[in-house]
Amino acid sequence: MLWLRSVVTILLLAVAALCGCSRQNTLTSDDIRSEVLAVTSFASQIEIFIDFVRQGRATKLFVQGHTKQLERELSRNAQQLDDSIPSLETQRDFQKCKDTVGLLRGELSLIPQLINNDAALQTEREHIEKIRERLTNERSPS
Amino acid sequence: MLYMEMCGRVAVVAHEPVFAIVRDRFGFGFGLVVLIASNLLNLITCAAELGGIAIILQLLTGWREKLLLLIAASLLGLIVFAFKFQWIERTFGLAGVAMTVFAISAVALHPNWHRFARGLIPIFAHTKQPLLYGYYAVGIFSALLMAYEVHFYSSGAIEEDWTTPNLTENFSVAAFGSALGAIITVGILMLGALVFLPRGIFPQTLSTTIIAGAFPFAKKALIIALLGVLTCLCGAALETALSGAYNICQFFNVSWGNNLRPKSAPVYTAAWIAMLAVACAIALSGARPLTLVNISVVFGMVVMPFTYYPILRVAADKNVMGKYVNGTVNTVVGIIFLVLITIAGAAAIPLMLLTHSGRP
Repeated sequence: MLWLRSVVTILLLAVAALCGCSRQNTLTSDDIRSEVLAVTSFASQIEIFIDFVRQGRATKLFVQGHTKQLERELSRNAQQLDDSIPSLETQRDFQKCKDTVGLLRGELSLIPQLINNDAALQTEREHIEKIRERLTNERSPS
Repeated sequence: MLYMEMCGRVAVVAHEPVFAIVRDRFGFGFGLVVLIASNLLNLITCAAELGGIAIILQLLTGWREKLLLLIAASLLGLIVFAFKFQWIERTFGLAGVAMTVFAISAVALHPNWHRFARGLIPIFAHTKQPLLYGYYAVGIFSALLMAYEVHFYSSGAIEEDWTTPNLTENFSVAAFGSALGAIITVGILMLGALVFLPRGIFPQTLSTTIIAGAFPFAKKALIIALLGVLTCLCGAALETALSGAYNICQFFNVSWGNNLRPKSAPVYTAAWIAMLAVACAIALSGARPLTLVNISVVFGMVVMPFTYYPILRVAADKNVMGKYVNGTVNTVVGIIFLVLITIAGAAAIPLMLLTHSGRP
């Protein structure tokens, strides 16, 4: 039954690959570097989003919907961080990532209320920029 | 383009759809493995597409995503019931042209064409993370070649009763369709390089990607981009659901076709309804569309050689194809692509594991 063996092999490969994607382990400095990049990317996505709204290019429904999408991804990221264990050398950066995600979630939730308030959006953008820069600048050298 | 034209030609000349060829060339046992793997991928892809449709509808209406998902799946089902194959194919095919807004946006951002041309040549030496580069190269390659498109196209040629005089149309449709798809894909890649890369963004949501499509323009472009993605996703969800049904019926040699009444093709009807229903259930379970796309693109690459190889064999077989057999150039280029597909297929899962699914 060669074909049956092939089915089992494909299924095992799929399971192995999916386990590899969702495995929970101790975060190495490489994992933390990826995490910092992901959180920085979120901050930049919010910045570009604010620019887009300020330029009057987004509809109200899009602003609300996109905020929900970003919020969902941020909370997924926060959940992943909650489920992870940092190694001794990554503890500081790990905590910084968690704090930044929390701050970004807070700032993001304000955006739909500020659609027609350019000054407030500008201030909001500056906040996000500072949060992003703090995360990247204060990272421990690895 | 090459394989699409080939499978269209085989369908017209030999009246052999893809999964009848897979069964005949590989035998029932291994053919069944390919069928199961292909249909699992169709299911995952369809779930990702339904999830994407719900996201876009939410961005357009503000309604709840899960409700929109159910409405979308039901409407797609009704469309398959109510319309003939030709209408479904042409309506979604034409509406998808709205996606060109992504290519237009990329051009409107005034890219450096010299750097763009240089970027077409893969240079591993310039990348700090060759494995990640490899993973995304395989991903883009696979996304461009999604096997279900070939299955659907081949079945479509039979649905539309194409005969040998239609072979010119087959070539034009395959060439124009693939070229347009490639232009839009390149446009999206350029937008990634122009809008996201300088800002260190790895888009984690579909809506972020939409912003890039409307980046240089006003609100109307955003709406066009949303509608373009919506119609593309609707068309693709129908294609994957119908492909699943086509594959099963062609493999087991039972009657199939969207132009037949449901009573005349009960297995086909039950199969596409089941595909849509299960895909909807997967999407409703909260699975992330982007994760599903990742799985579908990587495993799609692994399965791809097993459907492309038999097509090449039949298209190059003079006994089957007669005077419509592959020319030397077709066969040589086909073999080169098959080798590339096989290499990419062999590398796909190891790259997925080593890069943690493309984590930067």
